[in-house]
Amino acid sequence: MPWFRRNASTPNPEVVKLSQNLQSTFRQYSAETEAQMQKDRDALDSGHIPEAAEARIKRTLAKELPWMSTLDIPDLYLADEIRMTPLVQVTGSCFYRAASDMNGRVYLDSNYDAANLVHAYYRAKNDAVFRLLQEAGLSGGHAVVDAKFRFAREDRHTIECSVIGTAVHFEGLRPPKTPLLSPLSGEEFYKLLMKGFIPVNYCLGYHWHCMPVGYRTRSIGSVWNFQNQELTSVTKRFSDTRHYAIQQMVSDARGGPRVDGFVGVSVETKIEETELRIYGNYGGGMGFGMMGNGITIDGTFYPFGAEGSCEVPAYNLEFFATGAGIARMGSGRLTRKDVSTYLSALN
Amino acid sequence: MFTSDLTVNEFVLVDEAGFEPLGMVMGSSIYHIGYQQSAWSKNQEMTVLSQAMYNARELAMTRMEEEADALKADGIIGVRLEVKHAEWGQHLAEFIAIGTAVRSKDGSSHRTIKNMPFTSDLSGQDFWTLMKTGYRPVSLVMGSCVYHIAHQGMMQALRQVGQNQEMTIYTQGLYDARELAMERMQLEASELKAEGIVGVHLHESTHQWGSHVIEFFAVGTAVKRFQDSQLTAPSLVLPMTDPGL
Repeated sequence: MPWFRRNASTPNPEVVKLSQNLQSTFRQYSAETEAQMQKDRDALDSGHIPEAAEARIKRTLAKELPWMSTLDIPDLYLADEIRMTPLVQVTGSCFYRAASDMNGRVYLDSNYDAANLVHAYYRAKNDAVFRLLQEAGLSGGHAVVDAKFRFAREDRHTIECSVIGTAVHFEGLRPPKTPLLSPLSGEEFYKLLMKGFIPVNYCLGYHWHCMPVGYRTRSIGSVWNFQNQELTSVTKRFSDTRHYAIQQMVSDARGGPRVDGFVGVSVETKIEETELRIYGNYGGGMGFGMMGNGITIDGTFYPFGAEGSCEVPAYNLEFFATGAGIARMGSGRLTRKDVSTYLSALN
Repeated sequence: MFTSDLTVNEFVLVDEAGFEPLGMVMGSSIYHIGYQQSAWSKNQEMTVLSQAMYNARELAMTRMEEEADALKADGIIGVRLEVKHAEWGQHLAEFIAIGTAVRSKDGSSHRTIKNMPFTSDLSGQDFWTLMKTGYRPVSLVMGSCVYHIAHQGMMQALRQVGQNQEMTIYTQGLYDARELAMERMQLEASELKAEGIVGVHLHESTHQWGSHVIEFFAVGTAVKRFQDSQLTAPSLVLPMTDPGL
């Protein structure tokens, strides 16, 4: 709107008035805020959620604050249709650091797998989910729906997993000890319920493997090779890693409620070129490839230099699979009794 | 003559919901974001930056609402609130709010308790569905928090060599920032006497402040019940294609 048409209510850029309530949330850093942060860190270390998260849930349930939900309008309508009430928005996060050397490089085991990095992914995901379900449990929810996961890797070895979803309550049913978890939208949840299934868990299959590449494989990819040729040893490792990651996803489902299958599985793969330092003299050491005998994936041998190590070209291969675990409870639209029976079995 | 960025489907459904488009409305603010020194090893909110993000968004939103008010609109739907960092000036950002002003055809008022048009980021389809479920949009509500996540000291990093462990200081910082953003959004909705907030999105961005300074921005539409649901039971229809395929 042009300045000459503005009226008295036009905001003055110098003074944007935030309400007193809102203004009071802007706190300067002080000894008091530091003490609160330390308290929250201690709570996280001892398996609890920070005070602010707990207070938000309690105030929302007491109707002191409006409820909020990640569900969109069609999802909310369908939720209402199946007597599923959104209670409160719930969150969970974890930053987990994989063991590394002084230069920040992750260790590989004798099979050239980054076992610590794989462990870090699972811990970050499991802790974030545990915190999310703690919030949901506090709200008296039966399940968390529309759980949106975010994974990020920083500084090569620190994994962040954050999840945000909506805790929901099924009318007239006793909540289970551990609420169910669904990464599916409200609409997908509804469709599955109509067909006798219920989403119960979110599962992860992750694997990281390093392939030292020998002369034979390298020569296939050389610019002087004019033939059509498959890199069979690389293909085989690729396939093995994928199988292993999917297997891990299936194993991940075993720790929780009964899962009969997965839907919406997504698979991301990443291959990058790297160099692997293999030490011939000892099994311990620093950096990538601390152990090894210099044998590459195509069976060729890289001679160790005078210092007892060799630099071997390699590929880093990463597999990241996630999916929603679902359980079959009937053959048609589920009734309250079906859901109740399943939830009772969990307690 | 009206202008609108509604699609044909949206236009028809907004009409079905008993509203007519009046025109596209926009508000903007080119804002210089100030400076604040953070403590290297401390988790803390960057209040100067949080206030800047708040103020500039408020200015853009209020100017858009004012344009709609001049059109005697009941509300604005399909609001998009964007932040662009200007390449032509350091620390300058352009905040733009844009949407379509609508008015109730039967003359009933849907304005907020502050007698301003309601705002909402809902599409025409969502707006129709929401009205049919007996809820009406009250306002687009948001909460912002710019937060500095502590760096690790040299000794701390050395102690962690060779160990798998949680970086609790990062986790706690993230929780703190997110909770502040969500609390502010809930407070905004509460002041407008809303019952709930739907379609909440949480955006995490570093803008131009480096990897250890993040902005958590929570946004959603505050809603309030005004009548009983008029929707009939849905029937299951499965499309033969999935979106994105």
